[in-house]
Amino acid sequence: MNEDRRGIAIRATGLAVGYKNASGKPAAVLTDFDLEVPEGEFLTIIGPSGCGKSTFLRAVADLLPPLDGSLRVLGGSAAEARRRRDVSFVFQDSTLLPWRTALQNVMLPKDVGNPPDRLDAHSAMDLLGLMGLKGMEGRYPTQLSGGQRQRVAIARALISRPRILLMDEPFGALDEITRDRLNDELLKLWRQTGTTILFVTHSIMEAAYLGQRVMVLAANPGRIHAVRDLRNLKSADGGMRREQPEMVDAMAALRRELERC
Amino acid sequence: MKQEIQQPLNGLLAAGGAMSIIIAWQFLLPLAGVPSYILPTPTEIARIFSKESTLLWNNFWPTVYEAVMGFMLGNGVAILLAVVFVLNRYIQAAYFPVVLFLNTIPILALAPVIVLIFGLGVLPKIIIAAVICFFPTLVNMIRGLESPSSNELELFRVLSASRFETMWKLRIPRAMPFLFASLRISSATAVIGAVVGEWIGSDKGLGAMIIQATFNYQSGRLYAAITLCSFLAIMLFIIVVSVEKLVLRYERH
Repeated sequence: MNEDRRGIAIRATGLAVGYKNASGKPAAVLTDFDLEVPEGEFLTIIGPSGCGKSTFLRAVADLLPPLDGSLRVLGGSAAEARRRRDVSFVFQDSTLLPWRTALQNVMLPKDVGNPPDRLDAHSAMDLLGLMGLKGMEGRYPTQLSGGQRQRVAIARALISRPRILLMDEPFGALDEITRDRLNDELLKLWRQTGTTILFVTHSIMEAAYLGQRVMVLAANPGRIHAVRDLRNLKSADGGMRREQPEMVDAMAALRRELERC
Repeated sequence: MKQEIQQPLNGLLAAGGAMSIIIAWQFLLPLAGVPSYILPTPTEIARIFSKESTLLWNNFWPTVYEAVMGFMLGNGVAILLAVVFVLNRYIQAAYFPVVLFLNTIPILALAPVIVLIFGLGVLPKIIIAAVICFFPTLVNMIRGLESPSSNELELFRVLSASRFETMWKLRIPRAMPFLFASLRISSATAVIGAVVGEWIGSDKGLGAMIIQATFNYQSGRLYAAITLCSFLAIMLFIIVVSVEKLVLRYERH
């Protein structure tokens, strides 16, 4: 409703992204990519293996340069957004450094690069508390469960107060109960902070439950197959119950899209 | 299935095993008619330790100095060179093959050349000990510095970390387990280097003592010197393992 005033977080036009092979020839994983993500949106991305879900996130994070087309992140280039720390990335494996405690891992963004002033030690403790890790700040990653490690990784991503949060199957390796709980906590965080979230997943349930919109990608070559808008199913704060009949219908529709692509 | 042995028993078994060999050496070898100028019994060696303790210690300390200095020099240069190689792939491509080639020269063939260049003082012994430590640490350190996962490197890139920050805060801590694996080996090989250096041209040190005792059929003194070499290597090993435990304490949880 007020999206027009909010502005565009990500705009891709005719975007192609991929890798350069050994002989320097570009091999596109994603082609002809046209997408607009308004600021504050929770967009989930789903698709078969090799469709370039992670590749798109890596382009937004400036980890892969575009081969063709244009990609605007918060009105500028992806590199500018990265340098301003406006973009954070959460990996599937938590990628915590084992020689740092939970607190030191959350503080990593302050210890490297040119951290903006908005980072401080106080907010690291607050974030650990917010992620339900009070009292665990002194623990090493090996002393934490898989779910706790992923919470630390999210706290580390949030300490920069990013405007865009990129999540590459962050809960893919967790058991279902932990995953459901973290999904609810992530939705709460999203509502509180208004961060734009791009969330890659293999789970249809997760995609439908979290996303305001769900983008279905097709493989070979990677391209947008369909974008489903689920906002009319969800309450004003973006929530819904997992067992709601509309949710089940939305999941069935997504499954059909995936089978067709 | 692998048989698990609990801790106190494990230590007792190791001590018992060593004792059984020493007892067999003490009592069975004389029975088998092995003369003491070829293999003296443990008690005879112990007697040399009390009778010639001044001579033994006077030859022990130069070897300690050479082995420790060689250990630090060889490993220090290897660590620095590994960092340079990983920071700059062009330098690595140009010089790693040269280092690889130099490593194929046996240290025993190289030692006389080093003595020829650096004379008969302490320095050539330190350099031989350093050369022998150098290569395994260089290779292990390069492997360690290249061991961060692609996600870890991407994390540092998203944070706009400089190459030096990525080196200092990611690659070097990641390399520590690899480094200590080769330092453990170096703790023994540094002693070999020092002793080999003393063989070639020296009048003091355990290596010199070994050569002189061999030519003079002083087998008691020879075995005492060998025992001290082994003692020195064990001490260095214990120091390395203690530092490793301190540095890698996060792994023990």
